[in-house]
Amino acid sequence: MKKILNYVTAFLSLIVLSSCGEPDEIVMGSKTITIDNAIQIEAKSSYQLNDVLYVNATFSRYLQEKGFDTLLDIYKSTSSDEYYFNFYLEKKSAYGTWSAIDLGEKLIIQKGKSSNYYGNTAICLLDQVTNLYEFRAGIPLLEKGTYRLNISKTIFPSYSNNSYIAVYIETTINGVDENGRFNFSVD
Amino acid sequence: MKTRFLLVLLFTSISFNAQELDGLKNPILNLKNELRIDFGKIILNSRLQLTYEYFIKNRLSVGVSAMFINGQEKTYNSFQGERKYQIDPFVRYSFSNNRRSLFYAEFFSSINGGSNDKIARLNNEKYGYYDKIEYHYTDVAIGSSIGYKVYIAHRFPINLNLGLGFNLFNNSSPALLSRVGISTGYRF
Repeated sequence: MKKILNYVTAFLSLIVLSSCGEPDEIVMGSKTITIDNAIQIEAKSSYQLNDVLYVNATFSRYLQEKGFDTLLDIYKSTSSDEYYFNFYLEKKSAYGTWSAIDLGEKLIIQKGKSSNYYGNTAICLLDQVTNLYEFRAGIPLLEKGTYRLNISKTIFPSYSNNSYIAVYIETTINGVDENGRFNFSVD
Repeated sequence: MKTRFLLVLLFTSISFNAQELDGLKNPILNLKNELRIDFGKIILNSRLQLTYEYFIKNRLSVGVSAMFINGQEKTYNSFQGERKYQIDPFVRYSFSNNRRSLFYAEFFSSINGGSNDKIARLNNEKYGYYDKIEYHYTDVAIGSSIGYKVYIAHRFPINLNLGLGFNLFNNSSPALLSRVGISTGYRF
């Protein structure tokens, strides 16, 4: 009896698993577009005390989607006039450990918005005239030491009530290592 | 040839006798038909599901369930769309020796239809965009279920079943289809 029930359970599981994973379909209402250099770090060869490290994000609302001739309008698809990504700065201690630095109010925002609800969130705002999502902020370097800036390579839409799909943007970032960190020191 | 024929006759008569004896011991075996109504669906989401089951042998039965959904009721969910009707012929096999309280497994087919929202890539003059489109569909699914049934006073079943199927032919239909029920009825 137990054996038969086991077979039945296995068969039902097989049905469930066999119906999962259709690679070319939209999974759970999301789509990922890959573009180059949507986020840029204004890297310098060396940094001095009180220099400012700038981080920019600029990308069009019309993006090339693999497999399609027409550009994808991500604003019309998501109804989101805000896209965001997360970043945080870490400093190396004399003991060789890394600790996150709370940038707080020190961040110099020139375009877009920021929030420090969880780490630092960079919010790129859509300019309805240029049709670009933009963010630009400066991190003042107020202490000497060895630093690394961690930046998420995925940019997410902020949801609105009538969006049916989340179009994520996967990007490359200049100057980061294989772990996605920008390493630098302040002398 | 004659000997084989006689042997077949002998086994057949033994088998019939055994069923008759079983029938005397278990009066429920003489009742071949059963009608059920799914009270769980009525209470929870205004769906009417009726089931007819015919008992071919002690352990084997066939039947059909038909479910119709109140047109005013919005039952859309992202996995199963908004189903309007579902007709499920099934074959059921009981694992239990006890005829009044039994576990079973079943294979079912399902003719189902309704509407389903899908996200599609559309184009305006210059650009593409994603939007939600409503498709109407009819499809056929196959699947399997397991369940438990208990009889009160030999005639009144309480039936629980849980199963899953998947649609086969129509790209606009939901991939998965559930067959879940809590029903009661009358065996005659």
